[in-house]
Amino acid sequence: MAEQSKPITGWVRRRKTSARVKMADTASRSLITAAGIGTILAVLLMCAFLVSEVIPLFTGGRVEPTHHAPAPEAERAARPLHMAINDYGHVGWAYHHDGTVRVFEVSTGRTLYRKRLFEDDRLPVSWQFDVQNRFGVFGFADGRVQIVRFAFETDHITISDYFLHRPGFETVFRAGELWVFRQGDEAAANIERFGPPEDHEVGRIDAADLIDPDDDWYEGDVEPAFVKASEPIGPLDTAVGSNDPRTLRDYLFTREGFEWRLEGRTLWVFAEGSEAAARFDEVGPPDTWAEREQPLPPGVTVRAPAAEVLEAWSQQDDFARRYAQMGVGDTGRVADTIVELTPEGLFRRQGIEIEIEDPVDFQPGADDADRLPVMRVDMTELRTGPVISALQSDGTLHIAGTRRRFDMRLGQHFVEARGGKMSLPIPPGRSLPDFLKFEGRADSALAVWEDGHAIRLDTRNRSRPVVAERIELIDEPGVSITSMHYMIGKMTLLIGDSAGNLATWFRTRPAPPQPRPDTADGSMLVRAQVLPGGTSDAHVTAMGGSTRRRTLVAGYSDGSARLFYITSSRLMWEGRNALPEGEAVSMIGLLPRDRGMFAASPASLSYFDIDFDHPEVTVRSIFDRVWYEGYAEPRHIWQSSAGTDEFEPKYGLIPLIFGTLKATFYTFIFGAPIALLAAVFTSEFLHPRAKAVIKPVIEMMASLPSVVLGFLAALVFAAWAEQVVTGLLTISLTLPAMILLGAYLWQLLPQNVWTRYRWLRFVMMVSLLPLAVMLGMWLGPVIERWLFGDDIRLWLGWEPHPVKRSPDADPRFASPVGGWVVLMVPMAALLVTVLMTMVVNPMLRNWMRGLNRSSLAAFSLGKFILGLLGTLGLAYVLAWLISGGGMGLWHWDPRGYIAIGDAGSDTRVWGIDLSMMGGYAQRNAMVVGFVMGFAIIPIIYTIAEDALSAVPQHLRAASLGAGATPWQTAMRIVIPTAMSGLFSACMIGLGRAVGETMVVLMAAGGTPLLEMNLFNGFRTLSANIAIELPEAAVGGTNYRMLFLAALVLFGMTFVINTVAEVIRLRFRRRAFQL
Amino acid sequence: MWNQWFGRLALMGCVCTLAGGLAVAGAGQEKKDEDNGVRVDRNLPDYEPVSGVSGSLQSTGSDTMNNLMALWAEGFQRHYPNVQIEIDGRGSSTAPPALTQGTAQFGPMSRTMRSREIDSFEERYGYPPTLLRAGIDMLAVYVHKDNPIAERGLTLQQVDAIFSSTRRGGRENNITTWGDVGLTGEWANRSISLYGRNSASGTYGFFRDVALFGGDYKEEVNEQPGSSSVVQGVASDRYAIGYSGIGYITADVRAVPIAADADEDFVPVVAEHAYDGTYPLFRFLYIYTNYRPGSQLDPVRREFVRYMFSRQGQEDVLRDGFYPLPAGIAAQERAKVGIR
Repeated sequence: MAEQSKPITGWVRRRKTSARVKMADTASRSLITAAGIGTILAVLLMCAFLVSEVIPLFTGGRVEPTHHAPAPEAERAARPLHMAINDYGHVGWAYHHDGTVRVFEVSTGRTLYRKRLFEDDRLPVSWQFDVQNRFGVFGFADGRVQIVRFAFETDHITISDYFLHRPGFETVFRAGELWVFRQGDEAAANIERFGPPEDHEVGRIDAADLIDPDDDWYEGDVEPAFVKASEPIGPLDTAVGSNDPRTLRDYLFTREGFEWRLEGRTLWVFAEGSEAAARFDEVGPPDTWAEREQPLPPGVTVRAPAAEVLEAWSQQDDFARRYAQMGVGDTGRVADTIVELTPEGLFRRQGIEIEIEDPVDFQPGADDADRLPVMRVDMTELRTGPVISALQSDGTLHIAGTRRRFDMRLGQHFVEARGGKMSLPIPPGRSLPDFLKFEGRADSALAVWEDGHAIRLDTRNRSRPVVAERIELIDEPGVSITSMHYMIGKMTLLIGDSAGNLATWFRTRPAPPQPRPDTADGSMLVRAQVLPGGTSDAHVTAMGGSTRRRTLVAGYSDGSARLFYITSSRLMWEGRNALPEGEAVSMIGLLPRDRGMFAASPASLSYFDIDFDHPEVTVRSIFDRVWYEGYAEPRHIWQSSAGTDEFEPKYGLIPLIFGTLKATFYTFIFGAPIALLAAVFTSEFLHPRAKAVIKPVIEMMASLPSVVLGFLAALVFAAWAEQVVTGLLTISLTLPAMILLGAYLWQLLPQNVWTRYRWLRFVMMVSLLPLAVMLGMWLGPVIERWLFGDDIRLWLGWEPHPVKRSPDADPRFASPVGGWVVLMVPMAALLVTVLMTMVVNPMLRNWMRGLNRSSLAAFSLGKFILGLLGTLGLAYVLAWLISGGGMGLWHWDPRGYIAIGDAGSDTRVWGIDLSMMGGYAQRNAMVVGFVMGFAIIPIIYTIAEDALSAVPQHLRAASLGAGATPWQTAMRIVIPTAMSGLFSACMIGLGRAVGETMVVLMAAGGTPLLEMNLFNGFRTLSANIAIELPEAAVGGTNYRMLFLAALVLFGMTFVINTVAEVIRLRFRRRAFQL
Repeated sequence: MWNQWFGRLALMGCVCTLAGGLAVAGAGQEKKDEDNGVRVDRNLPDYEPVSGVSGSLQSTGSDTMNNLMALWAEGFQRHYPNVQIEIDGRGSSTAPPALTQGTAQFGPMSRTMRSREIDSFEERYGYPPTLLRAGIDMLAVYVHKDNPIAERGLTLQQVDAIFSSTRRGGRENNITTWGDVGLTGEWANRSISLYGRNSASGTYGFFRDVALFGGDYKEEVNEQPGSSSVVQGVASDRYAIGYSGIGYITADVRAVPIAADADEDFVPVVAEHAYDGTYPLFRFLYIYTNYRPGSQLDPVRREFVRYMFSRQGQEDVLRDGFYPLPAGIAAQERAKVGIR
């Protein structure tokens, strides 16, 4: 075809797409596809990652039995009463009925040693052990109380540690070789710099030489623990060098407290400074000495005056010899300790130190005959020292506290004792209480009878305890208390009864308006939760708590056990046959770090592994109100960490979600109207040349980092706003009023003036702004005096609730009208506008037609001023009516109080305080709203302006041509057409406000509150992540909760964007129909 | 100094430090010579530099000790200009994760680690982090310089009722105005504005544990990102009260004498009462480090520790407004990381 018609241009048009174009086409298409899919994948992956980090929070865990051992006959007779196991699960101690403590190796149950705690075979009549197993307190028949402290001791030793440090020598370990010097030898300092001296002799220590397979060094029940001979570990198999053979020898033999002489291949050992040593130099060795082969170095015979000396001397070496044979994970016994070789190659020596303190005598100077036994005892340890509460058989309750301090300069401890006593008012017909419990801060004690009757004592004043309240801890008749246990911190008391129920109790101080409880200390013991899984036939026989968190394990009389998490009252695990054959559980406890638990009866002992990483969290504990320790009611709280172990972490996400919404809300009501109006103004009314300047300038605002905005907000604006609160509030009224006023004044000008000087309109508007600000600032204090009792901050902080309010509160701030006026002004303005346009204008329209231009302008101005005054008046009247209007039928205070008739309450719904006003905090929602408003204004503005400008010009032309004013065109034609664009502008602004971090981080105060109050702070999800991520341990609960917060944030923006998109499409469809 | 700040600015979340830090820069310049009685222990060894020390050190943790770390770093770098030292002080709670993750060699903390923080460290390394007591602090309760309460004092129970919503200290009534603690005249009706630290802070934890008796803070407490912002808040607000380490005191605020309870005497915040143990809010400042038992510290850390516990290092402590350690304690601490 081409050859038939030659084109006139002379160019032959190719009909086929060239290969190059095709290639470019394919390349770009695949690139775009890949990038698109990649983006989607990246987002999905991110989401998947978030989910994968969050899922472990909810997966639960497992508990598995590991080993079970019947107790030896001997132990059964001695009846263990309390048992504790160290952090690494290797060493434990048990207190037995016969007053002894048995220290044992956990894995084998073998006794390391047994210690009788009290002299003269005295046996305590009462005892109590600390919830963290740090001490036991024992009461005796002679009226004395004794504290015994148990400390798990751990230290780490390396073989080199042992070899490196011997008195009188210095060693340098270098390139697998150990260099030995006399203390202070210059060569030691030089070795680092110049390397080892060349003239050193090099000997060799071989681990193998240290092993003595037929070792029977120890007598007694110790079997050889180190059956496994593996690779020698540590630097034993190293060359040892010294510049002096004597030094080397000295080094190998020096032991503290001994002297030695070497004669031939025999080493003679003396106690330091002994006469025999002196004599040895004169007359030679004594011939009656004990003798033994000492493997260090091989073949040396060691002799000492007696077998004990020899043993003591060589025991110091025993450590090293035994270590040398261990493999990773092995444990072995060395003296009274268990040594474990960790995967990191450290020898972890674990033992127990038992310290028995001097007895505390409650009847000093009394005759033996007058002495009364201490029947119940408990102790609590404060930072300043222990406080004991003890009950003697005649009902006398003693409180004894000590205050300890350490004077660093004198290097001395000072102890000061203080205490008092009272006679416990035991109700008639009752004997002594069955339990005595002393709270963690030593300010309250509880005496409990088995049937649930309890007397709580106020011990804040230790020298004069008084009865605080009497309570019944058990509701059902016939049920009795069988077990009581404090959680860590000794605030939450667990009560187990004969019906198998477990309930948590703690003291709260009901906040007004609840009436002050009729107790001596104004607080009351309340039952917070009944743990699930009760009502079994068996009764609770034993409980044990975690030393790290609020995990509790309970044992029952039928041999079953349950594992709970207290805060969320979650039943984590239930074991029907924790102990075989349905033996009653007599002792139960968690291993430290909650990695395991044990359950014991006098006849057997079972261990379990526990694998629960995040017991703190359930869906309910995150999103519903939880009754936390010490609070008067269940609440939403986020408080993830504090500096102590006793702290109960509170993971309620609602305050953070609420904070996010609050920030968004206030930002939006400030930013969106300004941005949208600005967009309409620039697109419809501004001269194109001015627009060309102004639009980029506003867009530049978007490039202002939010850090800088936050910085300004927190340090400059917040501090200034605090001084001029009413001024700011007034400006928000004067600014629009002044601009409208300016518009009406403009109309007053003769027509030829305003057509000629059109540009003046803009100048006038701009100059009105500072005028409005000044007016607002001037009016602010006036209004403050009139409506807010002369100080709005005090007015805001004034407690509206009549019960909560202190009686001498300043009555100047009582009136709630001022706050309502502020809230009602926008409402009144709206009402007045509607009234004007719908009612007044149509009525006057015909009459106004007769007016000439200038009189119409004057009339309009008058109408506006009337409207303005009407708005203010209406706002005041509305405020007066809402606040109750003095009629006494109702009373409503915007600071958070509402009353109908006589019954009043907070304005709380589902734990969220909906009052819009309240105490003023420097960093607050108003500040964030203003400043974050500036962050979203450019975004909304620029998109909205683009949408408005995109409205086809012919629509405007048609409208204007039909006689509509520019205002009418903008309102009726342009905005509806551009609605979808305006809407997406708002939504993108909203999305930015939800995710914004820096401004809220710096200017929102950071407290996770649940109040709508404009004048206090909040914490958003994003700020929370920024604040807490650096302190969250990787993989921990807090860490995963932060990921959950991120996921929630992701979900929120996802929902907002989706909804926005759906609505936008609808608007667009409508716009297309135009 | 500025480079450090800009470096940190790049990291998100560090801005709090910046906000605090800017204020610190001002406050830090004023030398605090009020504690004339305090001298650095003469038995402390002089620091003698050794050769062959180079490398870098990161410190993450306490804000209270931020200035102190900076002073030590400055002093240390005078001997070893090649050593790079980065200091990040956003709060004590940031130290344990940083040590565990290995992103910091030193973790200054104004409280001791919680068991679970030690657990996660130990899970990774097999041994616990080593705790060094590096200085002495008296956590002070500050009021505005005009406030007459500084002449009298507050009991811990009053402090608790001012700051805590749970009032575990045992005082029954809430304290919201200065009149509630017995001030008269213009003060009587003024409500107390509260300044405190954020939850990452060790000071926050310590104050909660000791002054709040383990209770909860009121929601009205303004949580500040740094010690100096607390002091600044109090200085700029006549009716404010706040708490911070004694090293942050300025001429615009006063430290209130504290009594352990109503029966006790008010203990003024002077060094003497830190050393004799009578001041109820006395505490040590700690530095945690990752020291494998029995090993030798690497030369940079070893020398830094030696510097901290030398006469010069303890003079820095005094210069920052805290109190130096007695020589005996310093020697004990050095020995913990194998320095004899």
